[in-house]
Amino acid sequence: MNTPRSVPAGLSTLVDFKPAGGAGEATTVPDAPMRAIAEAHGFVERNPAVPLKRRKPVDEPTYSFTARVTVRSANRFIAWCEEERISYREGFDRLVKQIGQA
Amino acid sequence: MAIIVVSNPKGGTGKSTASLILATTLARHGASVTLFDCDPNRNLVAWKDGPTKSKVKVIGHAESNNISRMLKAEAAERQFVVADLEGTASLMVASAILAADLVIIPTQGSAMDAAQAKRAISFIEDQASVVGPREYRVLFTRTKPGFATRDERVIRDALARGGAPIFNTDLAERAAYRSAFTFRLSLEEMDPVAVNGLDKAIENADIFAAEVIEALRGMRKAA
Repeated sequence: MNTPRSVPAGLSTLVDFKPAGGAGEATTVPDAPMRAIAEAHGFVERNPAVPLKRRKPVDEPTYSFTARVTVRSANRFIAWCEEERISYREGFDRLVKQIGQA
Repeated sequence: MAIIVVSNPKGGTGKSTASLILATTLARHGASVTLFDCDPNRNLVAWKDGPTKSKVKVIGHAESNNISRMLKAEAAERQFVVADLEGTASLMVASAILAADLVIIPTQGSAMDAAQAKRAISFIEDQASVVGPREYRVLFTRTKPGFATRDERVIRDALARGGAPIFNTDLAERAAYRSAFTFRLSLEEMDPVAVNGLDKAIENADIFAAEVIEALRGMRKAA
C-alpha cells in the first residue's frame, strides 16, 4: 500500500493567489529607458524588422543568360510578361516548358 | 495572481525543466496556471501536444513588443503565469523580466552558467532605477542530491557573497524530469514502476514550488 505523500504546508492551499481580474493592467514600464538599459546589458532585439523582397528566390542554381534578340521579339516578350504579371525569368521558364510540346 | 519568469541568457541551464516542473506542480495542487513557452525550441508546446491531461495552459507565441501585455492578460484570468524565456539576451527577455513578480534564474554549477546568471542579475538591478526593484532568486539545477561539486560550491559561495538570493532547494538531476519531456506527461501522470525515482522527483518539485510560494507570499507581505 502506498503511503500518502506529505504536502509542504505552503502548498496546502493556494486560494490566496487570485487572478488579477479585468483586462490585465497595461505595462507602465517606460519603453525608451528600459530599452537603453537592456541594450547596455546586451539585451537586443532578436528579430529586427527586415524589409520584404518582392523578388522570390529560386531553390535551384541560376545562370545569367544574355542574348542579342530583335527589338520585335524583345518588345513582344516584355509586353507578354507585363500582361501575365510575371518576371522575365518566369516568362523564360514558361517558354522553355513549351519546347517539344508543339 | 503571480507572474514568474524563468530566465538565464545562456541556453541549457534548466529553464524549460524548471518552468514545466513549477507549472505542473502548482496545477497539481489545484491552481490555475498558464505557461508561456518563449524558447524558439518550443519544448513546452511540444509537451502540451502530447498525451498529457494536465490543466496547464501553454502559450507558444509571444514577441518582445507584446510579451508584457500577454503575461498581464493571462494573469487577469489565472492564479499563476510562468514564462520560460529564451536562452539569449533579447529585448523580449528584458520586457518579460520587467513584467514579472518574481524572476527565477536557473544555473548549473558551472562558471559559464553563473556568468550569464550574473548578467541577468545585473540587468535587473540596473533597471531598478527606472522601474523599481524586481524580486529574483537563483535556482541551482541538475545538482546531485546530497553532493556538491567543488565548482558548484565555489559558484554558490561567490553568488551568495555578491548578495544574490538563492533558493534553498535545488532542482536536482532526476530521470523523471527528463521523462516528463520524453513521454510528454506531468510527473503525477507517469508510471512509478517505469520511471526511476519518481517519488523523489515529486517530493523535490513540491519543496521547490513551496519555496517559490513562500517567496511570493513574503514579497506580498513586505509590500
